[in-house]
Amino acid sequence: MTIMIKIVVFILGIYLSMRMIAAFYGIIDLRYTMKTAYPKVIRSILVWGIITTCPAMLLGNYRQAFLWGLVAYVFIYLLSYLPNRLMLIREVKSADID
Amino acid sequence: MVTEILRLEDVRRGDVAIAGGKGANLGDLIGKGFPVPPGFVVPALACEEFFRHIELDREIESLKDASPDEYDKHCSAIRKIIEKADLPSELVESIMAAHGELINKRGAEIVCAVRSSGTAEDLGEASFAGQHETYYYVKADRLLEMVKHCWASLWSPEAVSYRFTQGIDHASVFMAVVVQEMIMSEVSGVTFTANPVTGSKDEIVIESSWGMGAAIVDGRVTPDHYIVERDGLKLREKRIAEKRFMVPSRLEEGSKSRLQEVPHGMRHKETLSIDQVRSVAEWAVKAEEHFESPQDIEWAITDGHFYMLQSRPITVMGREEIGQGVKGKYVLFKSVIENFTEPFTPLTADLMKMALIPSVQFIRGWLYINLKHVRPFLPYKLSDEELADLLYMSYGTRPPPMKISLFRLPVSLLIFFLGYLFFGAIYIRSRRMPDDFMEDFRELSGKVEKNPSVGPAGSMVRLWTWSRFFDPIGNIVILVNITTALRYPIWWGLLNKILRRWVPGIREDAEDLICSGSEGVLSADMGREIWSLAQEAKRRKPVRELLEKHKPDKVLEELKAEPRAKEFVKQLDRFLAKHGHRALKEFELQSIRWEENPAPVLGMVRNYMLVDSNPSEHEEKVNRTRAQLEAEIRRELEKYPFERTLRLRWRLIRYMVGRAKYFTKQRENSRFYHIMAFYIVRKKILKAEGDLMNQGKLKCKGDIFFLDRHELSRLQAGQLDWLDVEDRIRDRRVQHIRLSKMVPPKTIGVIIKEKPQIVETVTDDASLLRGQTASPGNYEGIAHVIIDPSIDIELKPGEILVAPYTDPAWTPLFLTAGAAVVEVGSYLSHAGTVAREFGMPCVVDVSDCTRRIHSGVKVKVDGDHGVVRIEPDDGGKE
Repeated sequence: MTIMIKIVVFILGIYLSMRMIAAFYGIIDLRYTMKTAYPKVIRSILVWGIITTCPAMLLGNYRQAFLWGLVAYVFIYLLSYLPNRLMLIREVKSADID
Repeated sequence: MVTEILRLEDVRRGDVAIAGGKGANLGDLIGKGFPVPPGFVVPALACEEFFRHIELDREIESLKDASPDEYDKHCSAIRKIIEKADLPSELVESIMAAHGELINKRGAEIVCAVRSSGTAEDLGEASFAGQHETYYYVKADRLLEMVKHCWASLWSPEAVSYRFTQGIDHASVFMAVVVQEMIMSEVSGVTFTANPVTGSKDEIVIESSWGMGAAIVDGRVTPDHYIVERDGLKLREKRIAEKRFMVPSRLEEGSKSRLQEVPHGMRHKETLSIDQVRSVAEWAVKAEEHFESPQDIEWAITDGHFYMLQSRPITVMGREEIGQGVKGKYVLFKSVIENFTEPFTPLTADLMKMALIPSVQFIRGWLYINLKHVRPFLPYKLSDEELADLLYMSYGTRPPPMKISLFRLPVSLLIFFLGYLFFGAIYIRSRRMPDDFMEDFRELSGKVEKNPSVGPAGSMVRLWTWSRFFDPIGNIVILVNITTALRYPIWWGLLNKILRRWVPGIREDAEDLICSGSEGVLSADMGREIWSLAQEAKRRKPVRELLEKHKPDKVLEELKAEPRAKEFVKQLDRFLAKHGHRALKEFELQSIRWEENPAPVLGMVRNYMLVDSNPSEHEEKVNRTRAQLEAEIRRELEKYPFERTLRLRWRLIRYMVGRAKYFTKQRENSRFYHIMAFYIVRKKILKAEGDLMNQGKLKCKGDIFFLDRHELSRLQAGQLDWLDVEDRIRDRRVQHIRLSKMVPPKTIGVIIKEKPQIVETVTDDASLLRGQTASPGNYEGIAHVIIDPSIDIELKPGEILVAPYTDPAWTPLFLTAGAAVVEVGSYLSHAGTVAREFGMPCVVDVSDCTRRIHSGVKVKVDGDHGVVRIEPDDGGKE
């Protein structure tokens, strides 16, 4: 039962990490219209920041699983850029990129 | 050393081993009185002895152990040895003496055509691999070089690869060379004594154009097209093309390009008179009788004299041969094919491969999905045939119920979960963005365009595949497209379920209607802006008159010269600044964009100008119908508890509709920006082409699209030259022309049941075609078959558009059409989407409709049942 809860909490951490990253990207995604969009961006960061902080404070023994979930997604997100890089390196090596 | 040169008139059909297949054919024709240009043959034995003299066997030995990747290197070395070695002096004297005889016969200096003539009959297919090439414009000082070049063509990587796979010994293959006087053709062409597409033997097909005929064979110029009935040689059909370019039979000194513009007065002029058509057909029939098989004949006319240049058996490639040798099971990638039915050119395919996932690959220029790679994603029990049917979207948006496979379900869920992890942040970022969030991409495209160090491949990588960590979501249009395309069907499916449950008995197309509306959709804006241009033109008499008087390709100059058309031209420029990257067949990099040639836009403006209907009328009609539907739904929902006060169910429906519309819009809009990326890649290619033509490494515009990106890089780096690539470009062009005349098979390695086309004869004359319903309604009218809207853009109001496919550039035609029938398409295709927006019936996926329906016949389109009825033909034109 404990393991099940840890898994659920871990996945919750992944999901909330995803939301946080997306919220921060709002700064870049909406920069061209930031004069009018800034309330939406700030609201998004604050709301998801609070939603993410609450479980971290309230989960007690399961906090570690939650934090691991948060970190794991950051790692996965950075890893998702790797296939792109590898492809680019392969293309440059085969002298196809001028 | 063999030094005897054979005169063509001394060669006969049985001399293949000496004179090669081509030489034997030509000699035989001369012997039977056919008007073949005079010439001579350097026999294959001379080639054999020359190879022995330069000790080629050592290099050939090294080839036997080489892997296919190494062929290029070894072949290049062999070709260099051949081309650098001197021919024996006795052979040189014989060749030049024979050439001198040709000059004496003509009484003036001549240029020659030098042709390879392979000796082995089982190399017939290898003729496709670079051994049927002909070198033109060869003067005396280059004759010997071209003879060696023909011999060297035996060692192209394609020919070597073919011999390897067929088990043909490299050391046993030699080449004769045919040298003929090159005819200074005024008109030339090709004739097929059986229709090469359908195989029909009661038709003779003639294609002709100004200048050299070889340019027709490989598709460099657009020819006039004639079909002659074999019985009586009566002209059945003719289609006069706009012949903008020709390959002249005389090249100017220092000319960098072999393509020249045809003078304006000759572009629309018929190249053959009726007597000439008959004469060409007569000679073609005689050649067929002589060779006892259908023939593909190249010919030329000069000073009123007809000459036969080549004659070979027709090779008709059937659809089933497209997938020959391909292992695995594939289904056509319908999302692309419904916008563009022709195969992609080699360079376009090669560059697109950089952006494609392994599940999708090119087969003979068409995109296919590999069933094996897709199956793990779907947790259903499906046979290969059912999976292929599903991926081909044969069911539209209502696939049959499918059983979940408990065995596949965990794998599918895992793949889904991993996909969500990788793309989840993109999903969330693209959920609620303003309509213009992808405009950032225009700036990025501009930067890539201005960067001289980035070439075509680099542009493709940066704009299509490589997203940087701090790229805004508007820069990652391909991922926006993928993530929104996956979500639209989910919301649509949920809406469908909810509506059927809460409002049973609601009309069948309720979801489509309630989700209709094109606000914020860029391709719809394009249609409105063209309409607005047409209104501007209507308001200004000088503009209107110019558009009515001149053809679209000529009118722009006139408009720019007319001071009273200044506003119109400014508006046109603004339109092109925003939409100029679009084109017909816009996925193909070879397609000319509107910014480069606005003639198609001006044609659409003229069409709109001539009609009275207004796109907003269509939209208003759809809006009214939608409002009625919404009112009906709200009324029906009121029977549920608390609905009158809280309206929770209605709010849920509205929310789902909002989401479905949003994702459809973003999917459609992301395509607008993909095509922008394609235009940047095209500009880079054209820049490279210009540089290579200046350096003499390419001779014709458009040839660059028949190289792959490796060959392009090597050409730019000086590792390859024109003579290295000339043969393969020509072969690929010929291949492309042949494939373009075919409709690709839906599946390879899998058989799905095709719907029978002529289902029943309703009356003695009428017949039915079946397809898929894409937009409901019934309409009866006159059909107008349009194959290429850049040639034929005059659809009269109310006519029924019959097309092989449509893409956004066809949108304005839908405004004037009463209904649409499309050969390749699906419910979600452009044709279906636009037809529903305009409230007009549309039936898609109607196989062969462009052949079975003739322009001018009466047709009834039943969009409710996906059926098209052809009424008796009252002599409508095709």
